[in-house]
Amino acid sequence: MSIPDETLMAFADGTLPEAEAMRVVAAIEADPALAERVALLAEGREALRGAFAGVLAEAPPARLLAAAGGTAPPARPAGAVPAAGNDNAPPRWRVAAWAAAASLVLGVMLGTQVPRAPAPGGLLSPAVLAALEGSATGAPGPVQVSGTHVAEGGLVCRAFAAPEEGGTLLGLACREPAGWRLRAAVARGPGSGFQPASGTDPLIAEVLERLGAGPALAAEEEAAARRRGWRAP
Amino acid sequence: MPSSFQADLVALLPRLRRFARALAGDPDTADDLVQGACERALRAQDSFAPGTRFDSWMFRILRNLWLDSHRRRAARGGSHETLEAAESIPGAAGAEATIGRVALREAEAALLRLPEEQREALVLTCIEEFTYAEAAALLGLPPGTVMSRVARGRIALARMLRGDGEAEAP
Repeated sequence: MSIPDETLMAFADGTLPEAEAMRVVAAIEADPALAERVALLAEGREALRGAFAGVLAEAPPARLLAAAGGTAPPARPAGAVPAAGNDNAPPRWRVAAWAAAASLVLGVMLGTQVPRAPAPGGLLSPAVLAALEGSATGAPGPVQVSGTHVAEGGLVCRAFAAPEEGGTLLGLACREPAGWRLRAAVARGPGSGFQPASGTDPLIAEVLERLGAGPALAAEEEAAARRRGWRAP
Repeated sequence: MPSSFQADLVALLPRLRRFARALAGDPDTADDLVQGACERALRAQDSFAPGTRFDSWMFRILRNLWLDSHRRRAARGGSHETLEAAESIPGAAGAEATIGRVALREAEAALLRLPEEQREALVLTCIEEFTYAEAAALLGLPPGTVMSRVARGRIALARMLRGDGEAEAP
């Protein structure tokens, strides 16, 4: 009795309907060659369990993160992400993890992934809060604001850069009725030194885009927003 | 309208790299494929139909790129099988450098020695865990064809790993 390999494979996978499976069992008992074939089919699949899984745990190289994030010049679709003026050390895997997280839980801080979250509970350190509240874009200081944007519903958001452990923490905070709330943070790893934001980080830009934010406000618009206490116009 | 396209693409990178590694063997060739696929996808993102599977769409782009590069190499001379066998050896060595466990390493090397059509069908169903129907749609083949390729590939792989010699004739 001959049974096609496809049927034997379904049997080996346990996906064959019961009546048919019983028929295969009977055939296997009568024909050791069929039993051997089922064993090979099962072994073939089992052997591949976990194959090439090592690559899943590796941090993708920077060139791939750039290609996927659209920051490589030829790959950027028109109007998708504003120019990233940040050409320091390439983002590390943690940064990409943030991008992935941002697609799922925008606006939720993954506290454990933020190195030394500035103030437990509040998440924004007094220095960052002071800069968000009082500093104009580009004004010198330990914490620098790199842009003010108006998101959907008139929500005012500000991107900033704060030094940490030889690197930089880039963040985006929005002024909600209760106060400033951190919406995204990206760590630029140690070694790159403190880089006052010279442009918008691609991932901060991504979050801004999801918030429906427009381009950075001009100085006089920003001053007007500041006079309104950073509330919606 | 904000798009999650790029974030989805970044999140898919590890699986794209695994798929490319299983197709190409050599890590650098594999990452070149992934990079090419990302660039092509970003240019073609308007052609992605929302509501359909993004991973299938990306895997198809990557596999088409792989086929293109294969055809170019085949056109430069030599039969497909010969090229394949020749290319699979450095590929297996590349895999060896990153995977510690011997059995897995042997399985990976054996996979890279399978004919292309069996290998991609195996990779999609046994490693990437697409269903036969999903793999068939991705490859543009009837499900029955994919199933028979997977079955042949699984038997050939098991025979190689048992040391029974080369894959049986298709």
